[in-house]
Amino acid sequence: MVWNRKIAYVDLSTKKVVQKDIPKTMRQLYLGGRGIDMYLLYNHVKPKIDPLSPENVLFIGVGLVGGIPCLGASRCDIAAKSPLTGAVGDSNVGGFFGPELRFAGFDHLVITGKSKKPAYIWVQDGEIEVKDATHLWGKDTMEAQTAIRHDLGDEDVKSLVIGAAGENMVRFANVRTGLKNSAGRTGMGCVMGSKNLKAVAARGTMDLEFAKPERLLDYCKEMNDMIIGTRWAKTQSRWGTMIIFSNTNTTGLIRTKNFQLNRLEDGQDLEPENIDRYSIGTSGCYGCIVHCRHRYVLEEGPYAPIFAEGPEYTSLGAFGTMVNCKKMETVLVANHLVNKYGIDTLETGGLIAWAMELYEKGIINDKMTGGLKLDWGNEEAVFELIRQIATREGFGNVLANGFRDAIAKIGNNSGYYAIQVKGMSNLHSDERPTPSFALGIATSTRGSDHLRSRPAVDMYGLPEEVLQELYEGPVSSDYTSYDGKSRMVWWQELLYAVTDSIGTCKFQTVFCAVHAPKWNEFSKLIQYATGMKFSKTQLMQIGERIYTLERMFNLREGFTRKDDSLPERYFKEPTPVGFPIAKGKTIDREKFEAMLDEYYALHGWNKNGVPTKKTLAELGLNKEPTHMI
Amino acid sequence: MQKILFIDPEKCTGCRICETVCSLHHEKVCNPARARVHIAKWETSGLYIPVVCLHCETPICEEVCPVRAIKRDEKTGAVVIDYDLCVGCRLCVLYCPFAGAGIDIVTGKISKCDLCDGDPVCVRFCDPRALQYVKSSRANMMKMRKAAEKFSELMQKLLIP
Amino acid sequence: MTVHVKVLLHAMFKEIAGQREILQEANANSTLRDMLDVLAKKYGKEFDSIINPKTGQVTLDTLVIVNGKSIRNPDVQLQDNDVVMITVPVSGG
Ligand code: SF4
Ligand code: SF4
Repeated sequence: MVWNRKIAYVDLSTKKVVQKDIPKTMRQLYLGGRGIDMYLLYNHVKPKIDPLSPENVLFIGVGLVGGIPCLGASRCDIAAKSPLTGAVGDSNVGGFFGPELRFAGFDHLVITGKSKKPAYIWVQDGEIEVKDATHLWGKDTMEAQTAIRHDLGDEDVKSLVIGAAGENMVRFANVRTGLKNSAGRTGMGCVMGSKNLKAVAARGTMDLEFAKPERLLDYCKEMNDMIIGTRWAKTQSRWGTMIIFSNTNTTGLIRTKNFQLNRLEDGQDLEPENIDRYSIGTSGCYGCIVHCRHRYVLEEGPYAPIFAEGPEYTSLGAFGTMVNCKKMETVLVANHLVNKYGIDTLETGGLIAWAMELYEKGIINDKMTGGLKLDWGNEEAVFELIRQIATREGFGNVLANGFRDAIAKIGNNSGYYAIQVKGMSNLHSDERPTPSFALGIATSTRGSDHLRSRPAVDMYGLPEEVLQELYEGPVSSDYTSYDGKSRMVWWQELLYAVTDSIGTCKFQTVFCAVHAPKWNEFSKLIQYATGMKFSKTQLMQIGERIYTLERMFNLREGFTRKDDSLPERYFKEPTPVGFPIAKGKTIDREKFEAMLDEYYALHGWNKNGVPTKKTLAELGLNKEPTHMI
Repeated sequence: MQKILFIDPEKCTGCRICETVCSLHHEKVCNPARARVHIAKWETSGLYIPVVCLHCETPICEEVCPVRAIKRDEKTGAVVIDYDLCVGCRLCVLYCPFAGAGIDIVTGKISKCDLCDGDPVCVRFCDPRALQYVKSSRANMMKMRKAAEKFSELMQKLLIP
Repeated sequence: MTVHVKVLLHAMFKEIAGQREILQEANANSTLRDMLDVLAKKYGKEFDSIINPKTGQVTLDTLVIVNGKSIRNPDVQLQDNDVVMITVPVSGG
């Protein structure tokens, strides 16, 4: 049963490990995964600490239904105070580690202190040990995983690891598992590096028992059929998220040359089917029938041979459109490099594209870049800068602390060109024609981010009756409109908070397909798995509780309404190209602020984005921190 | 016509759903370590191979079993264990060249694929069709052979430096 | 009089048709529905399920975009030089 899955407190300074049960009330209030991680974050991280100090705490959590055979129930949530933004640090990763941790007997790890020497945590069937990792330090993310398996003499060990970037405390270093999966955002790998923690390895053979195993099995099949029946899943199964490129690049919804254009001319080589030249098949996360990534091989070129997985749409943007590189191969190499070093692909691409624009504008020059010619489309410069960032060498070190620090170092109005919110890079989508997307990245609790709320269904011009039924309120079916879009963002924030807490894949809920599993289906899955019953209203309230607690964390760290904004350029520079619907668009400042007001009200927060007393009471948050676990 | 379990490793995406549903169906728990099908993974070279009892034409397990506890179920074509007769000597586990028979870590009993009474759950869940349960016709045998050949090529390319 | 419409195909539609772009000729007063019917006859598979037979509208898991705007009701008249994109709703990162 999930009830005998434990929480363990691992103190890296003393190497002491304490195991505890997770009280049922925690499950009722926060489910698991991101929900419980956020509770722990608010309770265990003292206000205003330095995120790189031993006082920061790293949380690893598996979702409430993690390990079941549907909806990609593989997700694992990693949290800490973010060294990149100073706000909520939280990143979600698929692959195989999450379920393995569960089979090893644990749902949550709370990692405190700092090890004197490189260390790794080894979790196996109810036991936890802190082991020496001196021999692993310096290994890249793939080598490290192989070495750990070797060490422990078990091919089935799954681990979360950091690479050079994490070791060097690059502020957007990620945590990696397998060939492709990354807890990419907010610099969780940097926090691991600051604790001298190279890896967390798990192997488990413990039964995961359920309230209604037969019903669960049948229902999982039903869920999988529901997913694979959609055109979306068929498409994503075949081409992965890269397929988005075809739509956005045609329409003009994709950032090119940092923020100068919203379409890549002559970008045919980046069309998703070109992956077929390199692919040997697709690959899925645990419990997932969508398998949205390719296993690819590069047999030629300076970095060959490369065997890797991916790339995501994000990498296609980061090392394609954003830096004006028009070759699939460039993307495939860069994707491999960032994964090997363990740095976030999105942040890295965002920073490099920004540096290229500064270079073009003469704000930085060869002297500052150490001779790197940061010209648009210079793939060699991109590869080299990736390496420099990860190793903190040369100009890479100027970027390695993220946008805020780099803007301070470079000065000279460079901040105007930086496409970031709360210190974190925007995805390469261009949100100027899409107010709902724009609001979502502005309000996201972990800094600019599409995965906190992206209401992708806004793009599809669905009939207003369909939207009304889904969002239970009026929403315009025109994606360039501001009407009802605050509702969309709010609703998706709650849904995704719950999805991250039960541990299923965000794509396999209302992300791309309206008729995908959501509240009622989640409720049934939870019931068959755990016996707990939640109504739709209760699940939505849990989502609200989690999101509001994240908000409270950020408020406590000094964030205000002012931080829920967009880069100036969104308001000032109209989109230059694209279909008529996407061309000539800016975000209207007044309408944006009005949307923000509505959005706060939907959450039950006041005009300053502060949760009202009434809201706190309703959500049972008025006494936090309560230190229940 | 009897049906056979047809494995096409090239199609496998490594999702481990087959392992999970196998344990959920047979043991009523999720625990890949107790499944009768396993995905052997070479993650760094991208090879995923479903390993499961092949229900051989001339089963070695049947031959080595000293108490004749292993028989073919004529209805499903499965090579199954009669637990009333099985003494747990583990000879079948030792002798099977395909890791088709194993020992359950909880019950200590021999555990092997029984084709779920003719409707294998893993096959039902394997959407990429890496696992199929098909008529043992000539055409299907040819297909199986092709898949094996293609796969062996792939393996050589990736595993031999 | 005839109109010329540029049809952009993505995802499985591109794969089935074997090309990403086709130039479609139509009568001056024909609608999007007429054109989709022609494509369905020509390519069959997948193209024949763009319209939901029950509602007569574009199915919710298909996107038919005319000059950048998603169309649900295909009874719109085609104009010369229209760009029609047929694709699948996908998003994420
Ligand atoms: S269910 Fe199919 S695709 Fe998934 S691991 Fe098993 S054989 Fe491979
Ligand atoms: S257990 Fe091994 S030897 Fe026996 S039928 Fe299965 S694959 Fe053949």
